[in-house]
Amino acid sequence: MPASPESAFPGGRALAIYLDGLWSVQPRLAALDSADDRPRAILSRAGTRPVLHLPQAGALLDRARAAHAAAHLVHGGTPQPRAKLKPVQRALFETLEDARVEWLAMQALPGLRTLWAPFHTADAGWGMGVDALLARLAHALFDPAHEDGHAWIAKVRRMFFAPDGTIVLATPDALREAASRLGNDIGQMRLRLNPAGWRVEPEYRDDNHHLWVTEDTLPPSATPLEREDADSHGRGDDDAQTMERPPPRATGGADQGEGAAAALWSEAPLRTLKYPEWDRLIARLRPDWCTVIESRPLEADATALRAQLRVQRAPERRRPVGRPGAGREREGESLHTDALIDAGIALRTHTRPPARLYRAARGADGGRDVLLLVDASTSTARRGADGRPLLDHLREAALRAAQALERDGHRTRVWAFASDTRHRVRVQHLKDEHDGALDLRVCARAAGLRSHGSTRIGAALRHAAAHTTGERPLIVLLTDGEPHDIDVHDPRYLLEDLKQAVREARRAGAVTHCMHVGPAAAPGLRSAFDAGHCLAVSDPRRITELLLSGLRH
Amino acid sequence: MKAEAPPADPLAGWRIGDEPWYAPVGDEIAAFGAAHARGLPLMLKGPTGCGKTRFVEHMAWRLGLPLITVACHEDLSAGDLIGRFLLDADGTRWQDGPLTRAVRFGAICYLDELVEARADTTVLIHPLTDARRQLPLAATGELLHAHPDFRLVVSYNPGYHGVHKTLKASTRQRFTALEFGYPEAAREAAILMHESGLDEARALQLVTLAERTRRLAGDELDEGASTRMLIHAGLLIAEGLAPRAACRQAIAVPLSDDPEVVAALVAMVDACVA
Repeated sequence: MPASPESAFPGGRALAIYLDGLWSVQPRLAALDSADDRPRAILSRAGTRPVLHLPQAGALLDRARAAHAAAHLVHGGTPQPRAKLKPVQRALFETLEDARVEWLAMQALPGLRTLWAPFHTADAGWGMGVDALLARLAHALFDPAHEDGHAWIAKVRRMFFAPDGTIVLATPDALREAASRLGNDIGQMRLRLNPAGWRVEPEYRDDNHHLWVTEDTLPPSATPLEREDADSHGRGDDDAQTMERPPPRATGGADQGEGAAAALWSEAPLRTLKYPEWDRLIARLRPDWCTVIESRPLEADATALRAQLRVQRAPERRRPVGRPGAGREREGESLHTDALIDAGIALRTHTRPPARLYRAARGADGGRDVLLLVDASTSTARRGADGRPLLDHLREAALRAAQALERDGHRTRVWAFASDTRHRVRVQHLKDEHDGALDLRVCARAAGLRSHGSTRIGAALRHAAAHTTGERPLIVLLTDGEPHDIDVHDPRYLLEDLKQAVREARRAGAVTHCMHVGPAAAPGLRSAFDAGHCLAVSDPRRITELLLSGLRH
Repeated sequence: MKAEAPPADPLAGWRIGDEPWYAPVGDEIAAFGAAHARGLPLMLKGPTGCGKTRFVEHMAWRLGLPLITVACHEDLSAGDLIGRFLLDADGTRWQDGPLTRAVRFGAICYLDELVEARADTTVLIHPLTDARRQLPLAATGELLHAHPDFRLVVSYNPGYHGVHKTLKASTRQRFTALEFGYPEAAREAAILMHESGLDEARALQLVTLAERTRRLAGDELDEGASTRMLIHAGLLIAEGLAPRAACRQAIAVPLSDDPEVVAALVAMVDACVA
């Protein structure tokens, strides 16, 4: 569901995993287009989720920048007021703070030193300007073994480090005090900093604007961030809240009971059912709260979809459902009487006894009810790296999986769902039990599916659970995000409802499983399902394969 | 295993000669001992490579019992556990399976990853795990009463399994269970130092790396790096490989097949290992 352009940054996924694994931070990564010939990364901490804007660079610089930003996120303090600090003092504060957070990060992860060290090249050869001195200072603070030779830099180093190598300037106040005094030193050297031309060094460090309290009186940054989006203004970017745009007619907030019927809702409903919903605040189910409307999508031209399904055929069934023939096997649990007699005869006649002496196993278990529940909310229109909308991948994967599971002897159905407030949770039947996965009408319905609305998973899951039968039926949710709907503003509400729906399904004997497709982690979604029952899939082309390996395992 | 063992001992091959090294994490040795004293079946739950099997080996050695280990898999049939008729020149001959052997002669039978076994195999152990302590052999018509030394231990990794791989309540409730996790950092480093001979600083770096990969478990990885993987990396380092190369080979590359995840893991190795 989060339509955040995580994937917009090339190599962003590996970087995101790197940050999440090492520091448990999940900043959104965005590409930074800058006219600046020496661009610096920009870390924004204003919204609920930090955003790291990265200029185009190589993998190593990307990683150095990301690690530095993570050091700020993990070890940094609250933003400081600029009050009364001169530009050179602020630059000094930033240099000291950069050195401090990096030192802490390297204490925990010593290998970071080799990542950052190649960028620290400033030495006496850079000259005596303020910019050069600050860069040389950054180098000297980064690498205690580096001898710069400048007396003032040696003085700063003595202020910064204790003789045992630990950091003395550990608090914002101490840093501020030191920066203030050191700024005066620079003034006495008759040096001036040009704040417009100064860039923090080395180049993997970000522009540090996040260290300061935003002051409205200041002119806007010279580097426009991408689309001047929500984050930089602190409106928040918490996935569930703002990312899924409500349909144009809805404004959200109010519980809009009756409304216009858009074209997408014009499909003739098969039937309308009511389901309860869990309200976390009152900790009980609200009876008959959600209205599920069953329908079939308007059929569309399925040529392209069928071609796609034919090109990438469903994986072959793993083992035959019932073995034909006389039922003799080389291996087995019980001997085959006739084969033994044959063998006895063969031994007595000194001929070669048959190799198959065992009764063949009964076929695999009789098959299960499998319902594949496809998220068709607005966010599935998002295009992936291959330029195709996610919904294309989801419907193809569902049909291909259905085909393979039918070959294994299971009964499969494919339904799609989307919601538009609790009054309209649409569940569309693409394929029912008696349909074949590649039937023309099934494909036409799948091709007619459109991304629309929100993701009220709990209601759809209750509907699915109420319509599965057999022993331990299986409900597989294919989604790209966490539960969300435009009439709910507490992200915990629908998540708690989903957890409740999963519990109810389990009690009813069904097994629920979730395939989460997308670049970002969905910890909420994962917590809603049983341990090991929510699988994150980053590459939509691998959905079928992972789905089947999960189900057949 | 031991040439001097009397040939009369049908379990000689399954006796453990030298003490398998094991560093207790909690009071699991006492817990195992109590279950053993009362003949209760034991389930060891925990992620792969955290020391379950080593613990069972250690306890078998400590209690002086032979240990018969069966790695369960999805095609493990009842016959594989109990035994089957084989054909020879004189006709058919019954061959005990590993479970039957343990029941008949008195050994710890350790079913590794029980949940992987087929359901019809799992129910076989039911009469062995309650007061009856019997194993009916339908094929021979024999009702085998368990040897007083017979003990059943199973392991179970709740973390990764397919959709319908969980233990049935009827199986689950027969066991007492011990939960295993990865040891805390200092202890894991000590294990690593003992098993691979690394120095403490290096061992702690590897443990830090493992802890960070474990944060990705469930999202990008099925499970984080196990203690076993760390030991592998440590052995490669001891063999002279550069530490980062050793960690790439033993940890980053084996953990995932997804190129982006591997790239992230390699970068994590570089950050953790100096």
